[in-house]
Formats: sequence, structure tokens, C-alpha cells
Amino acid sequence: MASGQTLINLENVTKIFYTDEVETHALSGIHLDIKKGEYVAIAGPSGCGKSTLLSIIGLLDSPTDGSYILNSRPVQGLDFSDRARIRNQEIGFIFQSFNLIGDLTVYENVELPLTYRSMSSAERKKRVQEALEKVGMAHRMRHYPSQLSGGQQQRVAVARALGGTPSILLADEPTGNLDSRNGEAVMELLQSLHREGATICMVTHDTRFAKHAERTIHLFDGKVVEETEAAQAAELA
Amino acid sequence: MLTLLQDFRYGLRMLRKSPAFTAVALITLGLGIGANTAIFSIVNAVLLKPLPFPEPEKLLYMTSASERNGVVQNFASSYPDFLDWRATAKSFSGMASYHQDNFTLTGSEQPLHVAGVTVAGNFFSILGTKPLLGRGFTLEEEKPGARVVVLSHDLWQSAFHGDRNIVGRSITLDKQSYTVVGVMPAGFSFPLDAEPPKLWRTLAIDSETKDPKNQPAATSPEQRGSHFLQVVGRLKPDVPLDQAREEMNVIARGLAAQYPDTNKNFPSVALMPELEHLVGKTRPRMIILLISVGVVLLIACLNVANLLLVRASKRNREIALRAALGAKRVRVVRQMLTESVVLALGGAIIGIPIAMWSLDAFIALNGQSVRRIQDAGLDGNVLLFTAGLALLTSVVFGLVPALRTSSPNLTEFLKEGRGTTASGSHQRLRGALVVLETAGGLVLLVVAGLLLRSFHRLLSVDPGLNPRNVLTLTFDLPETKYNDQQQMDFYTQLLSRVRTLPGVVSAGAVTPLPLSGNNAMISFQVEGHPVPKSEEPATDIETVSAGFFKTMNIPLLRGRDFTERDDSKAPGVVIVNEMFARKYFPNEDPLGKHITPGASNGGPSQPREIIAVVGNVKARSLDADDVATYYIPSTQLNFGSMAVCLRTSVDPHSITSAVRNVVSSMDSDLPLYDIKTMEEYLSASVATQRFNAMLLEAFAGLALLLTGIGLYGVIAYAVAQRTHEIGVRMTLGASRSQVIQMVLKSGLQLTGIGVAAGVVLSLIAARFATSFSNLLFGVKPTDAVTFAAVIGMVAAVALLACYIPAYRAAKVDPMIALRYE
Repeated sequence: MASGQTLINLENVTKIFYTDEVETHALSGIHLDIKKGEYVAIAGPSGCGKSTLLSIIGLLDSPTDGSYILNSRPVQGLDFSDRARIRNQEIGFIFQSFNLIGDLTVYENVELPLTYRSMSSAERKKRVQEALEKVGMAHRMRHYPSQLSGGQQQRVAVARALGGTPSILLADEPTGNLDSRNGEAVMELLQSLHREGATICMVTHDTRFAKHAERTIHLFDGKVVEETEAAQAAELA
Repeated sequence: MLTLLQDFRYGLRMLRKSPAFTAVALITLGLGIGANTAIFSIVNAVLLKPLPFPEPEKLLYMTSASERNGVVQNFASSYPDFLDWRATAKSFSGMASYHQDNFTLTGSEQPLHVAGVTVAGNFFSILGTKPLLGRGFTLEEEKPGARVVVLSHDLWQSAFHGDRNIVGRSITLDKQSYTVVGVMPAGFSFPLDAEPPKLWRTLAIDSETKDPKNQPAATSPEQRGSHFLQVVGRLKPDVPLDQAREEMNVIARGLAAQYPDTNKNFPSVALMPELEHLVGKTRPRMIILLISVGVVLLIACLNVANLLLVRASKRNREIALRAALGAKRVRVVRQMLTESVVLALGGAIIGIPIAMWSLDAFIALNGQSVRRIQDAGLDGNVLLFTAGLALLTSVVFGLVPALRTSSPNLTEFLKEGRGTTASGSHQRLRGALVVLETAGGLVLLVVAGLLLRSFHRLLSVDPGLNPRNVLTLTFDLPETKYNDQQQMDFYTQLLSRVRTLPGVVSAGAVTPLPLSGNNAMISFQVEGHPVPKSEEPATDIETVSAGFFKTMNIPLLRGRDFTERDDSKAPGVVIVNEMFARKYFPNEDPLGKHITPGASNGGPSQPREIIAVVGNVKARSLDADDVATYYIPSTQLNFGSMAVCLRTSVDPHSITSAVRNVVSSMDSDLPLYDIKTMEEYLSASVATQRFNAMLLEAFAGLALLLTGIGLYGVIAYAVAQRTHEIGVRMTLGASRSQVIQMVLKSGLQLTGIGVAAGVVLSLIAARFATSFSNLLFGVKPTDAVTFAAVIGMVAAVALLACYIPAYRAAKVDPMIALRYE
């Protein structure tokens, strides 16, 4: 599925957290390329730096050192508003806890990132409907999140991520709050989106779900310790 | 009882655990309770405290009532009328007249000006206060020749060093010897609506023969039309007020029939309780102040209720635990209310010093505009009020949060980690409280704004004279030393001498002085329009010297000014103001016409030629309509003491000693008093309006501050509650400005609803305040400028209150979206 064109390029990225006089090296010398259309999983035990890496890729945090090129553009030195704009236009987030806003309907939740762009309401409506149809939730667009099951909520979250036609979907433990049946369903949804051409980067600690990706990057103590392709992963499993 | 104590102790412990909450709540309540205590102590002193006399409710203030063109007006009484009332009425155990006088006390090192009262012989027995030394007066001492005096405690101490042998001694007043027969106790004062008198004398001097018909002055028919006496009566124990009123009206009708020339227009007598006479006009203003300060307290309560709701949402798990352990709802409510009572009592303790400080400030601000306010203090009644208010307050702000908190969802809140999220209904309730606060604050601001605009409109009224750089002063020429002609000559000489003083631009004299609170009305006949005496028009009269109009910058519109040549030997002349000319000579030129005022220095009144028309002067008050006024030269009609007015090119007060030296060189026994600039008189004339406006502004400012704090609290709490959501929004691409806009929008929505409700309530309140106490001048209750300014102010405060939490929201780290619950 990958096109060969690099979408994300991290070179020698480090992230150090300073607390009082203690330095915590969350990431050290990370090199990572993600090509357009690729489905990459980042795996590793708890505390290995997966979420920190995801937050840097998602422009939620900045690396302490190293360079980050997104879609051919260096982004590590951008200010807050530019990063917000790029997040809004280039990145779709899928969270473990769905992060739907309880006071908004399904429709409004999916529309939310689009309201931060100067987009006509007709265009927004079209995109929201398409996104919801893609995840099979169009029939629930007037419901509130509290009226949906966990699996349905995560589908809505995926629709929200898709609505803005981002360059990449970043999924942070997307099945973490779901039972196995719903977890599998969400994985199949991501798989089908990947088949349709979406670039996906998923953080997970569960090897069962990592096998859905084409490539898995294993982190340990903030470093990449191993990279496995899908075939290798299947053998290892 | 034991469990109540337990609740009390637990309440104290909980308050200690949240020092920030406790401090904000205590200060908020302290401000509200303090302001209410201060205003109540004023209301208590002014309206509620009985007068300091035995059976004060039996004391009645009595006036002649006149009805012209369907309008009833109350007038002072005359000596003959008073004497007839007293002799005839059966409903009263006594009735006494009094009028204010000024005296010069000599005999010590410096002559002393003394404000006193000339009273009937039964004056002290009617009031019922026993003298500290000696005795009061007797009716015998009303007769001509009696020269007796009762001293105030203050004068006894200051001028006679508290000499206990003062009774029986002679003192010299206005060059005449008076025997001291008594000294009143400290604090005694009557009349209460004027500067506390320093002494009282009997009306004997008014009874002495003055007219050629050899009739005692007080009873002469000419004097029946001379209304300057005030009368106080004491009702008999078993006589109801209505019965006394009916009897007095019968007597008045009898006098009107007997003396139609003077009494036809006074067919009844108005009776009102002395306290009502004293403070009746103040009551509506006091009630408006009480309502206003009550609104401030309500806003404070809403703020604290809001804080309690926030705190309640944090304590849901604790309350759920109590309920799970078997606490009944009523028990939980009691626990929460006990904490509210602890808070309210704490607020009351903080409020008392605030009240004391505010009270001092209010009294200083008041000047002389509200009578009896000087007696305001934190006495037992006030403290009882404060305690009651604290308890009431605790219920107002504590009950709803207590009821809300006392029925938690047990399974929900006992789950670990889920106990800190406010429910939607809590947030809606808190929003509703802020809407109420905003509406209440807006109402107060509108009323205060209208008063402020009224006050500025009043200040911008042209008084018809130029008060800048004008010094005024007064002294008394004793009649025993100076007859009418000598008095007139004295002022003429004095004015010619003070005009030569350095710094004096011009000088004149007048009585009564415009804007001093005094005015005189005398009837007159218009040449060519003869009417029966009882139908003669009456209007304001002033006697003025040559140079008065120039000194006051009162424009001379037509004709010529008075000169020194307009003396008692010259033909009688008069100057009228524009209103007089318009009212009595419509479509005519008044110059050269004649009027005959009903006043003279002995002998029949003579026609006077109108020689000029001058501009109107707001002599009574700035907010009064123009009054027709005629001016007579003081060299042709002596009205007694005059106010000397000097326009200066220097600081007016700087020439006082030079003027004092000139007066002293002419007569060393003439102390000067009422040494004030015209600007001071002007300022004093609007003291009531200033007091109302400033007090309401202070309350409105406090209300606005509390509303701002309340709004801030709600928005800040909502932002804290929505931190995760805001993080999600930012992760999805919301910029900081979009987050700020979102938070501001939610705050301004609440404000908008509050403002809309407040505007409606303000329209009602402003109309009520206007109709209730005629508070506004030159401003409509719907004044668009005031409403726009107030709405703008509220919006600005709301914006500021919301911006701080909004800015904080914009600083939320979007990483928060990745952190799991």
C-alpha cells in the first residue's frame, strides 16, 4: 500500500523531561520514516516512550533535539498556532478513551475539527456524513456519546479523525477501552481504511493488534530496539 | 444538642481545611452584612428610634394649612392664631410656639454669637424634659417685660464653665439683661430640625408693644397674617389623633370666618407626629437605600451559594459515604446548614468593623442632609439585626446547596476517581445564580447611574447667579441698640467701607440669602388689579442693598439697579425678576408699574414703582421651578440681620479677618457667623442628592465587584471542569484564540441573559424609585445613555471576569487529551 513517498521523517529525535533536578530521557536518538499509505504500529511495554513518540509525531509536543519533517516540511520549530493548524489539517487523532465531548451530538463531534477551519457549513455537512457513513454510524448522528456503546463511540472518534481528510491517522491504544469483540471491529475498520489508502500510525502494547500493521517498531527505554515487517511479525507470533 | 455541637465543630474544621474558599466567602459575606448593618443603623437612628422625650408619640407638629387652586400647602402659624388655638383646643394637654433667633452674648472676653429659640412659657412642660438645674419657664413669663432664659448644657459648659450657681445669675443678650432660670441636660435639643440651640427665651419680647395702636405685638391684627411660628402640641392621653385633627379644623374654620382678610385661606390645621415632621421626607430615601443594600447582600449570598455548590461537588463522595453509612437526608442538610451558619456568623463578625467604618464614612458624607443621622451607631438593636441577618443569610445561601448535596447518586459517587465532576444540573444552577447576580447588579447600577446623571444635571443648572469667589457672612444688630433706620445706615456704611478693602471687587447685602435654605413670602397688591386682602397673591421677597445684583452677577435685564439714594426718604421702588414680570404682568412692560407689598417698617404699606427686571435666581434650590420674586432696597425696608456678600479677586476666605476688623471698628460687640462662600451654600443645597448618589454608587460598585467575582468563579470552575475537553479540542486543531472565544462566549451568554433580565427589572425599579421618592431630576427613568453606559460597564466587567479563566484555558496543554482517566 505504501507509495514510497516519505510522509514522516524523524532524525535523531530525543525527548528529555526535566523535573526539579531529575532528567528523564523519554526518547533517545529515534530515527523513523513513515511512508504515505503505510500502516505502522509502535509497540512496547508501558513507560517505553510510545505515547511520547506519538505526541511528537502528532505535534502535541516538541522534541528536545533532532529534526522532524512532516510532508516535506520541517515542523519541529513551529509555534503553537502553526502546530494547531497543521494538527487540524494533516493529522487525525484516535484516542484510547475516545475523547468525544459529552455535550455535543455525534454529528457535532465529527464536525468539531472542521469548525476550526474556514469551511462552509454545506461542505462540513457533506464531509461529516461521508465520514459517518464510512464508519457505519450515520444512523446515530443525532445521538449523544453517552447513548452509544464503547465500540460505537470509538467508531465516531474514527469518523472525527477522518472528517478532515488528514495525511495520517494517529491512533493511541484505540482498543484499550474496548472489549475484544469491539476491539477487533475497530481494528478491522482501521484495516479497511488502510486498504483505501490511509496512512496510519498506531501505538499499542498488544501484539495481537500490532500484527494488523505492515510494520511494527518496538520501543524499549526510549529507543527503537527492533523493527518487524508484517510477515516477520506473523512468524514471531 | 450534642450532635449540633459536633456539626458545629466539624463545620469549623471543614472551613479550616479550605482556607481560600473560607476567606472569599467570609469577605463576601462581611461586605454584604457590613453594608446592611451600616445602613440599618442609620435607618434605626433616623426612622425607628423614638424621640428623646417622654411619650414622644403624643407630640404633634402643627401648621396652618392653606388650599389654593386645589393644592394644599402647610404654612407656619402666626402669634394670634397660635394663641387662639391654645386657648380653645381641648384635645391637648398643652401647645407651645417656637421660632429660631440669633443672639449676641456679651459680658465675657469676646462677644459670642448664639443660636437660640424664642418659645412659649409652657414649652418645656410640653416636651416633658426636666432641666438639669433650676426650672423651665412659666406662662407668666410670656408677659411683656419678662427677661428669662434657659441655657443648653453645651453653652453652660463652654461659656460659663459649668458653674452650678448659674441659676439666678444675669447674662447679657443683645444688650439686654436676662436671668438664667435653668440649664437643660446634655443632649437635650429642640427643635430637632435645626442647628442645636444654645439657649431658649420666652416670647415676652415678641409680646411687647410695638405698634401705634398700643396693642401687644404678638396679638395685633396685623400680626395674624405674619406666619413664622412653629407649634408643637401634646395630645391628651385619651384623645385620638383624628379627634384632635377635627377639633383643630373646627377652630381654624372659626378663625377663617372671624378674620377673613388673613385667615380665609387657612381653613384647616395640619397635625403630624413630631417624628414624622422631622424625618417623614427622608423615609422613602431610606427605604430605597435599604432595598439597594439588600440587593448587595443578595448578590453576596448568591456568590457564596455558588462557592458552596462548587465545594459541594467536591464533597459528593463524602456526602455519599455519610448517606451510605445511614445518615438521613435531614441530618445531612443540617450538617451543611450548620456550616453555613458558621460562615454567616464569621461574615457578621467581619461585617461589624466594616459597618463601623462605613457608618463613619456615610455620616461624614451626609453633611446635614439627613436629620438624626449623627445618632447612628451600633447599639443593641443594630447588633440584634446583624445577628438575625447573619442567620437569615446563612439560610439564603446555604439551603439550596445543602438540598442539592444531600441527595447524591450513591453508586456513582462511591466509584473511585469519579467523584469530582459537577453534574449538569449543578452547572445550570450555578449559571442561573450568576444570571440573578448580574440582573441584581445591573438594577443597582442603573438606579445609581440615573441618580448620578440627575446629580450632574442638577449641578449643571444655572443658579442665576455666579457663586464663584463670593464670601458671605452675617451678624446681628441688636434692636435695643439699633432702630430700623440705624440698622439700615449701619449696613450702608459697612458696605461702603468693605468695598475699599484690597481684594474686594464689589459688595452687597441681602436677606434671606439665596440657597441658604431660608425664604420669605409676603403678599402684595398689583396696581390696577385690586383684590380683597384674602386673595392677594403672595410670593418670595428679598431685601437687598445697592450692589447686591452686581456682586452676585445677577443680570439686570431692563431698568436700573438700586442706589444708596433709594433710601427711606426717596419714593418706594422695587425690582422684580423675569418670572414675576411674566406671571403678574403678562404681555405688559412692568417697568413704571406699581405694586404694594404687605410689609413696611411701621405705618401703612406704600405702592412701589418697578424700576428694573433682573434674571431668575434658583434661590430655594437648584431643582425648584423658578419662583416669582421681588426685591426691595434694604435702605427702605429693614428685615433685620442681612447676609453681607463680597465678590473678591482673591481667595474669599482670605479677606474674612479684614471684614471682621471693619465690623469690629464700627461695633466691637458684633460676632460674625455663617462665614461661608456661595459655593459652599451651593454645595450644601445639593447635599441630599450627593449623599443618595454616592451611597448608591458605592453599593452598585460593590454589587458589580461581587457579580464580577461570581462570574469569574463560575467560568473558572467551568474551565477547570472542561480542561480535558479543551485539551481534546486543541488536539483537534483549535487555536488558542478559538479556545478563548469559546470560553468568553459561555460567560458572555450568561451575562447577556442577566443583562436582559436586569434591563427589564431596572425599568421597573427606576420607575418605582422615581414615583416613590421623586429621586430624579432632568433624567427619565428610561434614560438611554445611563442604560447603555451601565450595560457597557457590566459587559466590560464580565469580559474581564471571563478573560482570566479563558486565558488560562488557552494555556491548557493539548497533551492532556492523551492522558487517560
